[in-house]
Amino acid sequence: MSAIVDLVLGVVTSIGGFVEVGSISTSAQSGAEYGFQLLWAIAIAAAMLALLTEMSGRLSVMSKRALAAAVRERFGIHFQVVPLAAELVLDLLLLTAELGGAGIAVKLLTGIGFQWTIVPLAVMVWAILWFSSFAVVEHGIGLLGLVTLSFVLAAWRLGPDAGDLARSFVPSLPAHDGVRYAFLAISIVGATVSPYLLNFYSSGTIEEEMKREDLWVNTATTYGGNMFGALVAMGVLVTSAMVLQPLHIQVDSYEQAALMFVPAFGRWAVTLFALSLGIGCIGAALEISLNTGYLLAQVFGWSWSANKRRDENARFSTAFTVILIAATGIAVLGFDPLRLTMISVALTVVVMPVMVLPFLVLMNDRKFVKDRTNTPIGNAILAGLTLVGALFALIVIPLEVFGG
Amino acid sequence: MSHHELYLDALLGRMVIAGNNRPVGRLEEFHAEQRGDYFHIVGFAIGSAGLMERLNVSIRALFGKSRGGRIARWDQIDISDPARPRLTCSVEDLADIGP
Amino acid sequence: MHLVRDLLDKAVIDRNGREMGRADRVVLEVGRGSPPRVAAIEVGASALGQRLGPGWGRWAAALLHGFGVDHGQPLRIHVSQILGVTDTIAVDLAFGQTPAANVECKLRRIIRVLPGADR
Repeated sequence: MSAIVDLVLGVVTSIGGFVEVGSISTSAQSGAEYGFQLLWAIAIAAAMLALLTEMSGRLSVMSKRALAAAVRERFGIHFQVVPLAAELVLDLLLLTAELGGAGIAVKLLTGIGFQWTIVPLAVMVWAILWFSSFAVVEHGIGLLGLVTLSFVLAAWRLGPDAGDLARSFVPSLPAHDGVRYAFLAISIVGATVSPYLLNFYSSGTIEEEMKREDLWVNTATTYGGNMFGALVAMGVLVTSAMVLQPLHIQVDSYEQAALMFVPAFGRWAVTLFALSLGIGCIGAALEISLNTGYLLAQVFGWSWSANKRRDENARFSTAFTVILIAATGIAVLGFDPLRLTMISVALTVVVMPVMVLPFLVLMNDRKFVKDRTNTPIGNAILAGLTLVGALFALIVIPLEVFGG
Repeated sequence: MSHHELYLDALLGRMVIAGNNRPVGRLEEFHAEQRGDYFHIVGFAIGSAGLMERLNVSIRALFGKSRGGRIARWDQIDISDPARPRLTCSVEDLADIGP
Repeated sequence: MHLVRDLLDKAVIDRNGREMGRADRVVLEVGRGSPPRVAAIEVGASALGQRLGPGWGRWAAALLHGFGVDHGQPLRIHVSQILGVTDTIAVDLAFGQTPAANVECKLRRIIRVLPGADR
C-alpha cells in the first residue's frame, strides 16, 4: 500500500513540478512563433528526462550513492572538476532566472517591480529549505504546482484540432527562420533536461531510503510523472499557439506570455498565469539550491541530508545558502529573466555530453549497478540523442546569437 | 630498510617506458594485497591511455566490452622516478590482463 | 584490492559512521627490494588542491589557514587506522579529531545564531 501511495505521490508531484521558468518560456515562444510544430521536441525531451531520471534513481538504489559521488569515485577528481564547474555555473544562472521568474509572477499579481521582490522571495526559498524536510520540499511544492494544470485546461478549452496536434509529433521543417526553429528545439531540450534534476533525483532517492524492491516505483514514477508532466509543457505551447500566434505576438517577456490565458480564463487569466509561473519557479529554485548542497557535499565527502539538523551538516547548509545569496545578488541587478533563461537552457545542451556520457558508463558498471545495467539500445539512444543535440547546439547557438 | 614516500596520483596515468625507450602504455591501476597492517602493491595495470581509460568513454566499454592491457609485477617496474616509470623486464614477460 | 577503483576518491567514514571526507590522496612507501606499500591516505581540501596542481594546493592551504581552521596541512590517516575498505573506507578516528571538523565547528557557531538550526 505504501508503495502505491509513493507512486501516486511521485507521479502527481512530478506533474506539478515539471514546468518552471525554462519550460514556460521555451514552450510559450515556440507556440507563438511556430504553432504546434515543436510539440515533437517536448515529447523527445520528456522521454530523455524520463530515461535519465529513471537511471539516476536506479544508480542510487543499487550503489547507495548519489550521482555526483559515483562520478567522483569512478572517474576521479580531475575529470569531475569539469562537469562540477559546468553544473555550478548553469545552476547559478538558472537559479537566478527562477528567482527572476518568481519576481515577475509577483509583479503580475501586485504591480511591484520584480527587482524589489527578489530578496523577499529568496528569503522565502531559503526559509523553506531551512525549516523543512526533504518530503516537504519535494512533495509539498509539487502538490502546489498542480496549479500549472491550468495550461492543460486552457489548451483543452481552446479546442485545438486533434489531427493538427497529432501531426506535430512528427518533426517537420519550418516555413520560416530555420535557425530560430532549431534554436527553440534545442532550448526545449535544455529547459526540460536540466542537469541539476539528475543529481537532485538521485539524492532524493537516498533521502527517501528507496530499496531495491521499490525500483518498480522508481520506474513508474519517472516515466509516468515525466510523460504526464510533459502534457503541461505541451499545454503551454498549444495555448500560446492558439492565442498568441494568430495575433503575431512574439513572447519577449513573461507579461506578454500571460496574455495566452485571456480567452480561456477571462479575468482570472493573469492570476492563474502568475500562480503557475510563480509556484513553478519557486519549486525549481528550491530544488536547484538544495542540489548545490548535495552536489558539493557528495563530491567532497561532507555529511549531507535535508532531513538532518542544519547545524550538524553545516557545510551542506552553508552551500545551499551561499548559492541562493549569489543568485539573489545577480537577480537584483535586473537582468531580463527571459533572456537569462534562454541563455542557460541553450548552454545546458552544449554541456550535456559531459554529464550524460559518464553517467552512461556508470550505468554499465556492475560495481555500481550490479545486475541492473542499461541495455545496449538504451545506451545507444541516450548517447546518440545527447551527442546530436550538443552538435546542433554548437552550430545553432552562434547562428542565433550573431544572426539576430 | 629505508623508504621514501610518493603519492599514488603522481604515478597514475604516467607513461611506462620499456628498456629500449619505447612506450608500453600508461599506469591505470594498482593491484594490492593486505599483509599485516599494510597494503602491498603486487601488480601495476598498464593500459593504453591512462586518464582516458579511467574515463572509459570508448564505445566498447559502453557496451560492456573490456579493453585488455598488461600487468607488471612490482619487481618488473622501477618507480623510483615517478614521472618516468620504467620496465625492468622485457614487454613479452608481462602478463595480459585478459578479456 | 585495486587502489584506484577501491581506495582513491572513496568516502571516508569515522568510527561513528559519520562522513569525514574522501581519500583525496594515497601515500605510498617505496623501498628497494620490497613491494611499494600504501602508507596512508590524505583527506582535506589542501590534499585535493595539491592533486589538481601545486598552485591549487597552496591556494587551498592558504584559504584554510586564513580561516584559521588548520595549519593548511591535510589530515593524514595512517593505514593502520583503516578498519576496512568496502563501499567506503572505515577509519578508527572520530570526525571531531580532524581539520574538516574545525570548518564544521566554525560554520556551526555561525549557523546556530539562526532560528531552526537545530531542527
